[in-house]
Amino acid sequence: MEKQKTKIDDIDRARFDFRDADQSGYKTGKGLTAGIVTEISKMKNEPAWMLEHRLRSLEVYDRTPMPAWGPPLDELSMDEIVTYVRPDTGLKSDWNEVPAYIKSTFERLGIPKAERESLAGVGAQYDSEVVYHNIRQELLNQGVIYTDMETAVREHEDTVRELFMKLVPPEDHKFVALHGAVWSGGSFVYVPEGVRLEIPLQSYFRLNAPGAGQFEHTLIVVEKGARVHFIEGCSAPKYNVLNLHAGCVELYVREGATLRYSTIENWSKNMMNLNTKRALVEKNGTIEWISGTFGSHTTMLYPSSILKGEGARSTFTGITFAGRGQHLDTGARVVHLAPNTSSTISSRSISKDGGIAVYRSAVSISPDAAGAKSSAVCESLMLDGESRSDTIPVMDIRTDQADIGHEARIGRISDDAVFYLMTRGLSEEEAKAMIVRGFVEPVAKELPLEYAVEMNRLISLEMEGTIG
Amino acid sequence: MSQFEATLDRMPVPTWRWLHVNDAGVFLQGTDGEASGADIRTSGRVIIREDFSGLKPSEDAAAFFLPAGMGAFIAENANRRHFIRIPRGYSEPEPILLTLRLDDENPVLVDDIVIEAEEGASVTVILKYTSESGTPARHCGRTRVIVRPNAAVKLVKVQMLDGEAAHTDTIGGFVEAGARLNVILAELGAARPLSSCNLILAGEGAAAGLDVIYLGDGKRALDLSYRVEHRGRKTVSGIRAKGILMEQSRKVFRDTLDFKSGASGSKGREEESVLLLSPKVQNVSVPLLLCGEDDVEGEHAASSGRPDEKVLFYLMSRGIGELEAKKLLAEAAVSSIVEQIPDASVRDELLAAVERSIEKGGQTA
Repeated sequence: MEKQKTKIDDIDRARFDFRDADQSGYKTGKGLTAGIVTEISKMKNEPAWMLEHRLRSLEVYDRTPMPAWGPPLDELSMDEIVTYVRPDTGLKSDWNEVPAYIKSTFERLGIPKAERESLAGVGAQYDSEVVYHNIRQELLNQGVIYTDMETAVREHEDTVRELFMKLVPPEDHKFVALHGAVWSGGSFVYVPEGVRLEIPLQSYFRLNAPGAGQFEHTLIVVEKGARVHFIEGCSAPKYNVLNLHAGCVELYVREGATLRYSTIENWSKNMMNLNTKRALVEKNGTIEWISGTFGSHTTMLYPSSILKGEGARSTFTGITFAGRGQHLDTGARVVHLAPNTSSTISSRSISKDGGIAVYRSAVSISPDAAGAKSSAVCESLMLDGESRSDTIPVMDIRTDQADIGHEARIGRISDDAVFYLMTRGLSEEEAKAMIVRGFVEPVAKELPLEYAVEMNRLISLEMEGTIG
Repeated sequence: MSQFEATLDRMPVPTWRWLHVNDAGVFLQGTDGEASGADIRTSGRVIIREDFSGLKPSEDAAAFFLPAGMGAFIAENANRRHFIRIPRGYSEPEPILLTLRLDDENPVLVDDIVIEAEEGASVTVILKYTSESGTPARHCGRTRVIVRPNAAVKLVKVQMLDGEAAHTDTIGGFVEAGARLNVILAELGAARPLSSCNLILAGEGAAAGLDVIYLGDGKRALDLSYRVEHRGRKTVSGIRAKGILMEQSRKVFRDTLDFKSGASGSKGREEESVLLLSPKVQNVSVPLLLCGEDDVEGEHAASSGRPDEKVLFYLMSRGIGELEAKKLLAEAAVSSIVEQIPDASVRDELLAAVERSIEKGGQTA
């Protein structure tokens, strides 16, 4: 009997692919020069130290080579990218004041509804600037700060100056140097000692302008014993020109604090997503990364946890879905610097229609991290023979008093599993659908309900035919 | 005397530069062509020649880990050249043993060895490398194995050079339909062993096993890169590594299963376990799974840790001293591979080398 393949449809992007006419109030020219960088700083009325930081970052960018590993980036030409696009509105805290066309965009993405129903605060960035930020009054009363980065640079200058790009310095790699030069927008969150937010904060990033870059900066400080869940969502309409996203996320998790950072990324397939995220976790603190990568043409994204204090903990749960024309290089990095630190990595990927899914990780255990524990499980599902799925983990262990385990599996849907389920009364299609849903379930269950539903819709699994 | 210096790509696919696993430098010393010391023990109908005449062209699997010019350097400088050919359908019952010694008279060895098992033939070849302590020995070797349809080859390579020796070694295996190649590799000596192996499962139903024992003591820095390429349909492979690290030794172990498009129905598994006997070791593991075919099963697992306190306590409560207990644990760690070596004297030598190392370095743990 001839083998037939399961058919799993591409992610349905119709909900994200609408676009607005470019009504930007101001944008820089294409390319990257000291003049453009100075212009951005001037437009934002920044303090001198930030301009200095931008210009220093530009120097680092100019002298730093492109990565010699990872997906090909030949298509990226900075001469063609507009680094700053300001929408024709200022920052609003009343939804009704946001221009109608921007409001309509975010309403179609479900943002205001989510705010009403399940979020403690919302930020919305359109191209290079945050257009809306709001937070519930009771959180303000507890001293929680949730604002756009530009406001934070002005109103919380000392804190920002102390922490901004200290965890992810411009020297780290070429695209973070680029970010340091042209960053714009993003969110600043400060959760005071002991304050525990029971419902999440969310920032949503929308890049509308064709051929533009988005370089938002997210800085979160969770003080001793505090707790917060931060969600970011990203999308863009599809254009025929390349867009670039090179954001940077710096998270400071103080003693005994917990931060959950969830991302559902669904950029359009003309997007180069070269993003950097890093958390510094102090004694008995916890960082929890939840990461769903569905969109973009090319992604390089490896959330990093630096476990600096004794007993610090990191968990990473990620899913990547690579379809036609996509090269998604994702994973995680963990550095154990202190005794009794622990980390888990759970990664799942699906590749189909020639898509390339790469899992890349690095777990480092320093000589001071006696009693460290790390466990990584990486599973990849290949849905056809045109696609690729690669697993590239590195473990660097420098103490004998660590308990380290790593497992990875690559394969397709097992005939035996389908057969077993069929003997229990399921049709073949139901059996296959159940297996694929089961495969993504570890990530889905970590997401807030509305995002889990969203992910199921994104994956839009349509089962047809039989498994070969 | 000629020399060769280059940077070797050690990863089939590179990753972050700061991890320092992507490449390694190599410096090779040429020879004046004088043959180094070697003993050859063989019998039967196996043909061993000093040149490669009569070798049928075949893809060079060893080239995968060699930079441009290094293959030619080995060919030009080889002072030990052997072509071991097993005739069609012939099974050699006794292992062929080549002992290659480096000493004051022959401190530089460049060996270039080809083993070809013709269709349906089978053989075991053991290559043993030793050097006298204190000799500034330099070894560079290439072993190419061609396993024709339905043939079977077991290659055992045991490196027991002294702790100061230089050692760069490459194995290439090309396995045709229905054939099997088992490689057992023990890297026990030298200062900075640079060891590579690339096995290509070219034909349908080809199979390969790669069993590796490595030992780190003193300040030894082991740099190991192994890969199996599944090209044919229904090919099967297993990479299994057992390591012991002590004192201030360092090790980078990269093992790759690479499933090419078209290798449907293939299965591969890689597995590494490391026994750590000192808090100052550096243990780097890079298990890669590369997959361009959906109809395959690939998995890897890696684990490392120091001896289980409960097991140590149990042994010591039975009157066994800590050092003896560690020797027992080390022996147990490598025994499943050692017992696959079909020569008692080589097995004993290998275990004795492990024991000596623990006696020397296990005390500091």
